[in-house]
Amino acid sequence: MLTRSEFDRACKDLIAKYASISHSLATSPMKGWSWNEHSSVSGFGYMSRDVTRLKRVPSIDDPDFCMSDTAEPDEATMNTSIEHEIFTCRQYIVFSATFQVPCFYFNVYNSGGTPLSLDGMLETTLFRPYVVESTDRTSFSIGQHRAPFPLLSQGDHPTLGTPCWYFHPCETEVAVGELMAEKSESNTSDLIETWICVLGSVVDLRI
Amino acid sequence: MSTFGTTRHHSPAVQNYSNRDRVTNYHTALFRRLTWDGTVPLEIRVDPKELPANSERGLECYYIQAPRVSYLPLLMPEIRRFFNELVFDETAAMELKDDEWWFETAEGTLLKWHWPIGLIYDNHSISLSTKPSSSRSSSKPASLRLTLHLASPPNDKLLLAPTPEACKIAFMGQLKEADFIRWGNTKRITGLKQQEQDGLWEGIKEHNFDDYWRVASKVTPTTGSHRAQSPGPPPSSASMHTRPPSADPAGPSERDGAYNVRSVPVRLYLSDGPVMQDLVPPLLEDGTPHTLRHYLTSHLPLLFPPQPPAPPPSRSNPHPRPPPVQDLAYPLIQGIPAPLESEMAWLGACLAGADGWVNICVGLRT
Repeated sequence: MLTRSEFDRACKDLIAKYASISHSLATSPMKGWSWNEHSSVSGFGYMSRDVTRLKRVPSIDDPDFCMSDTAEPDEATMNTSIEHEIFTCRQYIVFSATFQVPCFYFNVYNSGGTPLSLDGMLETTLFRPYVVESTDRTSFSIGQHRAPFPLLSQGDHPTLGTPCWYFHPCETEVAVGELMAEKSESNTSDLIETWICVLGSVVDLRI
Repeated sequence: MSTFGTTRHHSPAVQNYSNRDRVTNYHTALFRRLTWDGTVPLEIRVDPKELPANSERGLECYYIQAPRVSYLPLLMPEIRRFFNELVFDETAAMELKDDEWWFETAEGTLLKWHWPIGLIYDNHSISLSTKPSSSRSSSKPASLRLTLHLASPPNDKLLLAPTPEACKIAFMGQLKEADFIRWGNTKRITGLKQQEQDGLWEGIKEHNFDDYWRVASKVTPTTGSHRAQSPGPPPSSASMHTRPPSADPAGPSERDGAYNVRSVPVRLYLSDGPVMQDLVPPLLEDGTPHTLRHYLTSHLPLLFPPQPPAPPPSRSNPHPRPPPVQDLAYPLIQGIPAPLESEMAWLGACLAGADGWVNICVGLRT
């Protein structure tokens, strides 16, 4: 659990740290984030960034195949393949006031700027395979059998008030707690980095 | 419990407790009933530009006294029936999609369908309080005038699919968050049988107080427990106080009492700006109950200035009182301008919405 000011400090430290670290596949989940505040009220800061995602190409021959597990497509492939639709994923890392942990909010837009439906998003390279295969899918949420909260659902962004999709923070809190317990000294900024790594098992955060 | 089964065999202390407990439970139940029965007047008109051809134009307004604890998706079947039967032409009615409706206030504010209706109404009241006063002098609550749109909901501003199913999931999510805020886990709600959990939503859908509270009473804190240090007056068995004196033995509800929660589920709404949510411990560090005044002063000190201390006693004024404070705003809870001496824990037990949350809307005084 974090306090609001620990969250704010940790995010700003992360942004500063990775500003000077070069981009690679491994560091890309931590890069490109910027800090934002509400225009008139303090204490509602959050991180945001825009990344590009493609349409996932499932291969019928290989049941384990998923684009997000392969190396990043190289420039040549992207330019020559006209079938690849490009989507913009606006990503936010906000502070959950209820659970006192970071929380991942996002929306995905097509090239015309229209937000995608849940089914549409599941067809992009944003999610890891098991999310796509989860049971209990409706048009407005993805659930896991017998879990108290849906894995993925819609809610209002805590600062902007606009509808966003978000992964329920309970999932990541437990995992992060376990990871942090193993580290000998945990700075709060490490907590955000660790949390982003755990999130990476659900969402492809590479850019 | 005595094996002889009559009250005569109970010790006096326990008998006193059960009298006071009964009195306390009476007040808690009273406020919960009043909250449940609260309604607000809505006036609904379809956007004239969207009225299908051949509509009966003389009848195009639907009036409804809506329960504060209910939700717009639950009212839609009744609203739709009215418009389909009395206003729309049959063929036009068939073409309207079930989940593309959305509401705006007369001032053009989009209504969030996942908010309880009471919150929507109070939020509207406070937004009017920030505008120059024109028609706020009437004592009767004004109808909330709404425009109903039948197509093309703005999906960049509203959550998708305002169906009763989505509404139920949103409602259960809020209940579990409230549970988490109180105890640091959601075991009380998730520990209920699925049938009981569903029963909570059924109670809302059917607007049945008994059905809802049959389950909710198992998970909602009561005010029957004693507080750590009560500054109240000495105990008297004839007293009608809602707060039991601190000398009481712990009752069965002690562990789950309103004053033992980690934090009360509270959200604060201003007419502009994001919804505020913070930890609200039931007792302050000095052991005194956390009051509404203290909460508002710490979060909105410009609107609720801190009370300066009383001046030191002097010969001419041996019992000085602190100077009165001019509040620039007032807190609306369940439509009531709440007294600032109210205790946050008590509000959490008695005036919360059906989703477990105490929603405080702050309006400006003229």
